[in-house]
Amino acid sequence: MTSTSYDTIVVGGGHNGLVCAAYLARAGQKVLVLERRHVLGGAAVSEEMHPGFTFSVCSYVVSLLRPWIIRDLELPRHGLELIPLECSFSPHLEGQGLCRWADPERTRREITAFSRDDAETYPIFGQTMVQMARVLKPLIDQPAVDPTSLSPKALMEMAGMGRRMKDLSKDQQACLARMMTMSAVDFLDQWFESEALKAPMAVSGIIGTFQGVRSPGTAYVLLHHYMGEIDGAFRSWGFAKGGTGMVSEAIASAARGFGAEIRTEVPVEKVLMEGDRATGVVLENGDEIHGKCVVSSLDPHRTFLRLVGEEHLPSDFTEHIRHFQMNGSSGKVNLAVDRLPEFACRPGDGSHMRGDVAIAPSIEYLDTAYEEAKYGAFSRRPYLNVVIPSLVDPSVAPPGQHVISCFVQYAPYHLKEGAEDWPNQREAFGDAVVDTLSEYIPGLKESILYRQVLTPWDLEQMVGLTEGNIFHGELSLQQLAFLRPAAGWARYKTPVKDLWICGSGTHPGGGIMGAPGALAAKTILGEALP
Amino acid sequence: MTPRQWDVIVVGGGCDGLAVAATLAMAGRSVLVLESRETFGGRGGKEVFSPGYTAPGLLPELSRVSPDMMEALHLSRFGLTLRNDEPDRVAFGDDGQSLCFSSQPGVTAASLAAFSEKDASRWPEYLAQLNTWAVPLGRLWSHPPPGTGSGGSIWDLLGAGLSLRRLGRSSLSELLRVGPMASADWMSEWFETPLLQAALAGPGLVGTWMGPRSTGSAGRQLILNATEQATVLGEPGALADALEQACVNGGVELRSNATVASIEVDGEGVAGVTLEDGEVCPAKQVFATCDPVQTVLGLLSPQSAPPSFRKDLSHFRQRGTTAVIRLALKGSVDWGREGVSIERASLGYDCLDDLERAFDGLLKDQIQKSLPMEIWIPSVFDRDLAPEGGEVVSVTVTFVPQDLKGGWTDKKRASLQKAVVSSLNSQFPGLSGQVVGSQVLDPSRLEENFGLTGGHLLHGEVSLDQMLHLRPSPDGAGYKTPVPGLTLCGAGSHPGCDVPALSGWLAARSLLAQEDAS
Repeated sequence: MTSTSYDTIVVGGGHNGLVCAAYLARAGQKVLVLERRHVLGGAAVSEEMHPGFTFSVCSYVVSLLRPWIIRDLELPRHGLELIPLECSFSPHLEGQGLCRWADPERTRREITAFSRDDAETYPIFGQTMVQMARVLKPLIDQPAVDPTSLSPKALMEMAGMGRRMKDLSKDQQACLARMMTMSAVDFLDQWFESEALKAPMAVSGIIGTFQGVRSPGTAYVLLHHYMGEIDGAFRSWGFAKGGTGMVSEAIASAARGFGAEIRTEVPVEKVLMEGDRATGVVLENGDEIHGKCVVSSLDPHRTFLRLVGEEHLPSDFTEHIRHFQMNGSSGKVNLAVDRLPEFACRPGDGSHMRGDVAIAPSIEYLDTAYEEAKYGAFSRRPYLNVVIPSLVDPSVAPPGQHVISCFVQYAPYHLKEGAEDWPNQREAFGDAVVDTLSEYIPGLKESILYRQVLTPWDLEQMVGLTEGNIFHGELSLQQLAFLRPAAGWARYKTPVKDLWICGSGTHPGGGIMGAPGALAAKTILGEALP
Repeated sequence: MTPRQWDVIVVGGGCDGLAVAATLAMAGRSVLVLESRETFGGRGGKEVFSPGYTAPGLLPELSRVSPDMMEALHLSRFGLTLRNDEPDRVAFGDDGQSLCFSSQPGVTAASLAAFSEKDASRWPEYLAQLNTWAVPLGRLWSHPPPGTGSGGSIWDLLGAGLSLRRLGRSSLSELLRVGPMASADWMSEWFETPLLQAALAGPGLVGTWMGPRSTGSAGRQLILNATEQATVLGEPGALADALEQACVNGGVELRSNATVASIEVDGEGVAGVTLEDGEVCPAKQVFATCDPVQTVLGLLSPQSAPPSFRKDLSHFRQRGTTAVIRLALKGSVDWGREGVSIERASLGYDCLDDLERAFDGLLKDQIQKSLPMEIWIPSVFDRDLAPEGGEVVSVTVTFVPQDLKGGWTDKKRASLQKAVVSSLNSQFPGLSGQVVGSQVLDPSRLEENFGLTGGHLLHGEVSLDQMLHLRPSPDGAGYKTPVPGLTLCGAGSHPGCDVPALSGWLAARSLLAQEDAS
């Protein structure tokens, strides 16, 4: 039993919890972070799962980490080093596949093999997306504007948003409206003709969601790909040197530097309540820790339905949280291999593998993958987003050997046999992934030294993501901005006094962005927003 | 001899076209309506589909009407009245279960209670929610799209905003949340009975390219509810007839079998139209009520419209998803539900997944084995549609792809009809023996017979990006287009896809208002 009292207790040591703690500590607060696992980072962790091999167990690429957070927390000084992805490769069973490079001329030549028109359109498409992303980007750098509020502040913010929209031409405004509502495929159909190009592009519209490439509302996620920025350059994604866990480690180090206390292997059982006010936490072992304020970086279901409990919440709010959809749809397979994989369609030195590799050969392939998942089965031929970080970061594997990280979609949390059947299907799921990849990399199976299979069930058990949702809740229109996680409660405050939320389940949402954590901290501190 | 000059030419004699003509004729304009088919009324017109059997329009939804328009055009003088009851609807499940939705008090609740007490107790709350939202949505769907400038003045925009605000903050938040949701998610929030969830989601999917899991399908349910508040007595055909008479009464020149080949544009704007037989009809104003893609890409020469306008329209999606099958029955069938007159029914789906599976067929250009059907039996109400003792049954089949693999052939049409009849027969034994005539309108036939591009029943998909001020394109949404003198005001404009004749009436009024102003 500890008698020390803190200004703020942050529940969960994922990247958002750590960012929030760092900002609060920087402002002079006495902060304590409590992490259930033995490692920090939540879904942004690196772990040595096989001797000599470091896996970015869950999240595997970094793009949306806000530059102002990197600056404020001086993350490079704390060991953060980002290595940009050099290309995006989509292998095919026949032909050479398509690789999009950082060099526009090289990309043009690649696309020309499929369609001359598409090759010409591709850079124009990119420019349009960048213009659009510039308008939208501020939305993820400030708290959500509530269009239903009539307070002078909210009206001012609405007006500000309106002004930004006015900077767009009428065509661009219409394009934006279409992007917010169309399916990724319909939208790309307006620009391109070649399936080989459209399929790997479209699939970026569905990552982490339980939607198909033809589901309306998936087009805007395409923009996310143009919002990523590293060193201020638009449209670049990167690896964190040492795995994505290094992002969390760097933030933790910054937080400690500001005086925050971080403890691992301390599972929190409940938020301690006194009347209608949160006054601390109760640990699983029964210990109580007191704080003036509690911030939860767990997802909304866990925070409210478990840590707080319905008895302390207004019933309509509980109803909203229950309706907040989690619906995990993806899994992860990490492989340690004894040699550099070789794609049958494009042998060589591997320069085309230094970025991400998308197994998305056609729209039909993606449709079929989704169709299986809709009715409660994992895709037998899933979409894979594969990266081989050891190619650009030798520190994560022994010399000559490699780490292959496969993001797998679809793996619906709710199997038709029930979610609890996942442990029985785990190996079959892993086999489906390896079989799929083996079609493109013939010698893959023989080269595998170790295989880690994470189903959505495992993500829930291990990382604490409810229903295995990697974004702490579907990124669908009805769960974004002022509705994330519930109408009127998207500004980090909760119906419980002195309890705040700062995870991906609140605005602006998932991905290694850090924005929810930082914006929550600034709101708590009453600081000026970026 | 110089050809006669009209003030306005209306392309297409469907309900929208007739409403334009009647409105402008009342204001003293000389109007010519050109209809390529034999009869007027378009999708909403009466049509003999088998000797002695008349179908009163393509879809029962086409009997919706704007009471304001009815009054302005004095349609009651031409025999049109509002229907003051709601038709009963029965949803049949495959396992012999059924749900009954009736406006008679207590019937729905009792029917629901047989499945789930919980659902029955939530039903009134659900209806109240729908009706609260029907007020602001109904307003939006009875005015030109806000923010388009044409008739949609700043006051309109404010009015729409105010009626939304009046909902109160929590109800407005909820509306903004539900609007872009998928029906499947929203229905699962409300109810637990699979047949009920599906029966409520099903009708909203008709004519759309959405499954129950598609974003925006819940919003479609809300709009359908908001626009069905007023319907005409005597089904769509009665509306078309009344509008036609209003035109005749106002001195409109109505020409059928007159196909427009092109809209002529000179330096100042629209100059008139040329018919297929070469006849030139001059006019400074042309109101096109055929679908917008056909108008802009088919009837205008490429030089006549700005490239960006043409490009937008080339992206307007019109993938047909629906077939209508009409059956002529020689004798009556035991519709099997005592105390309920079955005018509407749904069949072929038990749960949301059944609907979604049928939708999957669209992605593969296939017809799935089990087909969701919305059944309409207009002869229950109007005995004149069929000979003594007979019935007219119209079945709307979702989802049937426009680009069926291998194309639409007579054989495929016959097998579709066979599937539908056998499914009906399993629910209503003896029905198949009563069929004496039929008409299968698959998307390709809808395109041929009704001039609907892609065979799309609503002139174009009603997804969020093709609604309101984006329907059919940002430049063409307030009825006016970048081509001076050309107005688009069919079902491809807001709100014509949901309330027939309304786009036409609003467009005509906005022309008159502008002329008054200048």
